[in-house]
Amino acid sequence: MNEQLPPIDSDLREHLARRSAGRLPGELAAEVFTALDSAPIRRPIWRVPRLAVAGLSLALVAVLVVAIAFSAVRTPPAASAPSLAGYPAERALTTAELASLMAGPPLPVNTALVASVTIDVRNDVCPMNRYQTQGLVEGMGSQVCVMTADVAVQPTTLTGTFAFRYLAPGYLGMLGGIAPASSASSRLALQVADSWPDTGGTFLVDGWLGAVELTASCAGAPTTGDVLAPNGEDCPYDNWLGDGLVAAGIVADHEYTASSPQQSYDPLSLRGNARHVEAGGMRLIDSIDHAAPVRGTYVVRPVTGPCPGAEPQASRGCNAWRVLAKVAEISVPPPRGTQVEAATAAPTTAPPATPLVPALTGVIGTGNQPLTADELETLMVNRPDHLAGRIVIIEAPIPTQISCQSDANGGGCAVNTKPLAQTGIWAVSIGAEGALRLVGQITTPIGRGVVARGYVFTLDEVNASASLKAGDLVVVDGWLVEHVVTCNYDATPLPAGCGPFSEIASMATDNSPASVFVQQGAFEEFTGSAGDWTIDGPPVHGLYLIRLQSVLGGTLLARLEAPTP
Amino acid sequence: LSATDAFDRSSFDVLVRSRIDAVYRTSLAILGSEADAADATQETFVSAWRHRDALRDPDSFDAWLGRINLNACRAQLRRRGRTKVREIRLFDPEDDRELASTEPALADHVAGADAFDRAFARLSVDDRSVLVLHHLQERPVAEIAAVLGTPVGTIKSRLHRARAALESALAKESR
Repeated sequence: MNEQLPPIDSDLREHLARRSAGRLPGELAAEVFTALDSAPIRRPIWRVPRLAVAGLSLALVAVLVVAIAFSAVRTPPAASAPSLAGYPAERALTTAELASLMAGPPLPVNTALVASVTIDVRNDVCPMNRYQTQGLVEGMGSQVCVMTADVAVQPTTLTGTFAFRYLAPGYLGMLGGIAPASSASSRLALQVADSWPDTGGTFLVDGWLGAVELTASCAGAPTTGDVLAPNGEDCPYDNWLGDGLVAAGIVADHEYTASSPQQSYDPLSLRGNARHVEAGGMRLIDSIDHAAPVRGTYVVRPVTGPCPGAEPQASRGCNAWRVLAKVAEISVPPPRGTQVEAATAAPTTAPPATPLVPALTGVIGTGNQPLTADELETLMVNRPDHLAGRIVIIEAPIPTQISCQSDANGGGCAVNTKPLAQTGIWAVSIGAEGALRLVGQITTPIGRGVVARGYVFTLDEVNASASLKAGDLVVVDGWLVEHVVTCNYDATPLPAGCGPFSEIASMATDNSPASVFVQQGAFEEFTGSAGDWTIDGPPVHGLYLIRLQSVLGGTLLARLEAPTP
Repeated sequence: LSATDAFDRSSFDVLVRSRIDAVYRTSLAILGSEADAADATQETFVSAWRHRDALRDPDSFDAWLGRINLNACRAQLRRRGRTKVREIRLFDPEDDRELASTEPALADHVAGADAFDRAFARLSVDDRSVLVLHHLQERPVAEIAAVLGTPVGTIKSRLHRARAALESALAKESR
């Protein structure tokens, strides 16, 4: 039969022979046998007609939907959140827990977190005015950028436990790497009486933050400093971290020094059951007043600053411990898609407003034009909470905050007109109380901020572009498509490499001529529906906001819709 | 091999030893990476062992193993940073024309091994596979059809399409 086929091409054969040449790796056979030794034992295979499987799947989905709906009615979301036993004193958030947290509703800005993650160090993504990019957290469902105030040379990846502040959806600020309390202990946080490092990086302390009010004349009120590197000054208070509600040793230090011209105690030594710390900026950022000691896990860093009573020109500094943040008490939301509406799009039509996960449905102006600040204000006054947590596409100048209320007279807004950006079109996240945060500037088919030809890309334009680069934010017109699983053998579960995969495609098929792969699981993340892995999920048409990693791949951030009247 | 004792472990170990070189070289030709080929080879045998009950006819073992190997290569490509695998369709898949004798010689487009490898990487796993199975391994059409899960009658058009896709990819690489 072979003679019926085209003749063997000698050039092609030569190239293929070259590709397959070389010695079989010596250890490969041994590795295969080792893998076979650990393969599951033989088991009977039950073969069920596919329609029966589909029927059972539908029944299971129906049961789950009813169960979820029932539990949603009976139980407030917070109560159903997975337990974080031991966090943060004994353990950090896992990568999966952080991913779930970052995929959930936006957190209050500046929330402090501790997580064990790997950071892919790179500075060519996540443009932000305030901070440099340190890298991307690996293993997140959608892109999570780590920003830093410290521009230091880093290795290509950082793996460990880190303290962060939540800056905005998709953005964490680096407070520092956290060293465990001791290699012999399972605890992450130090106790007050433990030996605290006086050099090096940040660490955690479990204790009470209190303060002694001093009789002192202050040059000015304390200021926060940078949220990732807060000030320590807190005049007229001296802060302490102790293991109880009172810190007699700290009080005694001040009773003694009040009658002495010079500080006579070692500020780095344990003073009874407490230690002196600097916490002025952190108190302002985390809203911790001085009225009573507050129990918690605190992020602390050794610093060198001016000595008490020193002249301003004195070059010799004194060591101190500065509290950078109080780790927030949080709950991790259940994975997305468990309490959302399922997609109902027909595969061959383009519905104008497919009900997707609300928080992932961004807002764009009518006619696919960006909103103006005035239009955004109108939207926010009509429905003050409607846009909270969402991304909007808006043309600069972009105000810092639009805080709106509606009332019988129509309502009104207080607008902080200090511009976040003066020019260009931006993706902006609406935070608590109408605070606006820049997600990134939109790149259009003819450059940033230019709308002469419109700013929505086709997938063909993206794939063929020579100017788009990693980190660019683009709006594309396409179909969110779920790919079939690529392996056709009966393994349960299938290896992760088998898919399914999500992409924004130019057609409602998994073999479109142009497409951009997006994060695995995006289809389920956006539609709340896993679909049936034996067939393609129902494609969903729309305008999608993507942060590109290349012209063939990126992270899907939002599906954009014009506001409904 | 008999249908009943085909897959006791000692028999399977013999099969592994006798097929591992071929499976690895096929994987290497398709994937172009020694590390990926090693991973695909291991996954092929582990998957075959785990799902040995699915093999009803021991005589078709090689075709069955070839299909598992093809799936392992496909999974490996997916695993490798979500590399985009896009089929380049220049002709109707059902088009069963003979390769034209006037078709430009492959060497015309090939500036070197690197260009070939880049062009080959543009092809789908199925296109890569059919080229490897026919032009490198010279397998019979029935076995190619079994490995690819394709009717015998369409193998020729599949080869034609894969070859055309390679020509197109080579042309792009030479621009």
